[in-house]
Amino acid sequence: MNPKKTIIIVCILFAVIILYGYYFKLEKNVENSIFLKNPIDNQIQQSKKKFIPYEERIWNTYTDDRYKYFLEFPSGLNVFSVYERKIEVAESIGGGSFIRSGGVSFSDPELGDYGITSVGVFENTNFLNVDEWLKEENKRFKNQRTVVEKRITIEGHDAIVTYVQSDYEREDAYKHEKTTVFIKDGNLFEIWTRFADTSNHEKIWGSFKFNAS
Amino acid sequence: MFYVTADAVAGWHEWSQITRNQAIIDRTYQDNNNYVGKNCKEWVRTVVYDASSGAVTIPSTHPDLYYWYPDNNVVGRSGLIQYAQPGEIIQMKLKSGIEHTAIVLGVSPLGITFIESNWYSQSWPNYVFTRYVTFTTFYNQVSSYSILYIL
Repeated sequence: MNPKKTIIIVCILFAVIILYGYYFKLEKNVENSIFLKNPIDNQIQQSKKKFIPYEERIWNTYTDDRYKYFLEFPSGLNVFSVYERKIEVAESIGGGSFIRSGGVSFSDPELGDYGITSVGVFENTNFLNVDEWLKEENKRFKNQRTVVEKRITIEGHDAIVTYVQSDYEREDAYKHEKTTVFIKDGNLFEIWTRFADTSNHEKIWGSFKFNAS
Repeated sequence: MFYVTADAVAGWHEWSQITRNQAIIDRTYQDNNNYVGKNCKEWVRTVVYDASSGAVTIPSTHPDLYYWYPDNNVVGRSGLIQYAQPGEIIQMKLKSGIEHTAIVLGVSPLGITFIESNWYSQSWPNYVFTRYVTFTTFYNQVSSYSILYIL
């Protein structure tokens, strides 16, 4: 081959390689600056983080020293207990305040400390039974009512599993949120649970036991 | 001489969107840091009903949980949470499969402040509180959401 031609072909090949490399680098830079470094895209990338359903997690045991009970709850939750808390009631529903003697709440840090379960205790309740509690609960609101899903016993005490119905929603709209109530020795216990999978509710109240004294 | 502004004589539907949104926010503050006995959606329904003096009752939630059934006075729109406006309502489906409803109080460069009932962390159910969440955290918490404004 003519050495002159060879030199020209090699120069052209060299130029093509340089131009391709430059174009590739440019494209990568554009991709980095417009897409990968865009905060919104980063957020969407991070949102793909997998959430482990509560029913698939290991469950731990919480023990309450004051009221001597224990129950199971899904791992990975924050546990916060508080006693003698004064609760201010909104003026729009009558105002005033009441005292919640004790309780514990479980919230999910993965969901921004979203509440999953709580146990509230009201000492020296005036209610003689859970139906009296239900009657009082249903006096407060015009367009929502608390209904009994089922009656169970917790450690030998009559209990009701309830949820809220609204005049504006389908009947089962709020069934993912339940309040289970029973009275023991004049103390009213409210076990509140919020799960999409209904088996988790039962797992909470089913595991509720008083310590043998 | 007294001047009567349009807002003073017009009803809810004649107000500007900013005025309607502000009326919703004003009503939320009456319940802030208090027990209201209502879950997130029921409380928002009460707020909108009161703010509009009974002109608007928000519709029920679609079984998919992250948006509402159509209504003449409730407009759903898509958009990034960064562009939500104070007084708009966010209907979201959390990654745990549960729905949640919150009202936007404000948006800053990195996050959003909600006022809502029944989120609770170190409190109890059916309480109203404000909560700040970064956009990144918001997108990590929800699987889907919609932005709604009230006409």
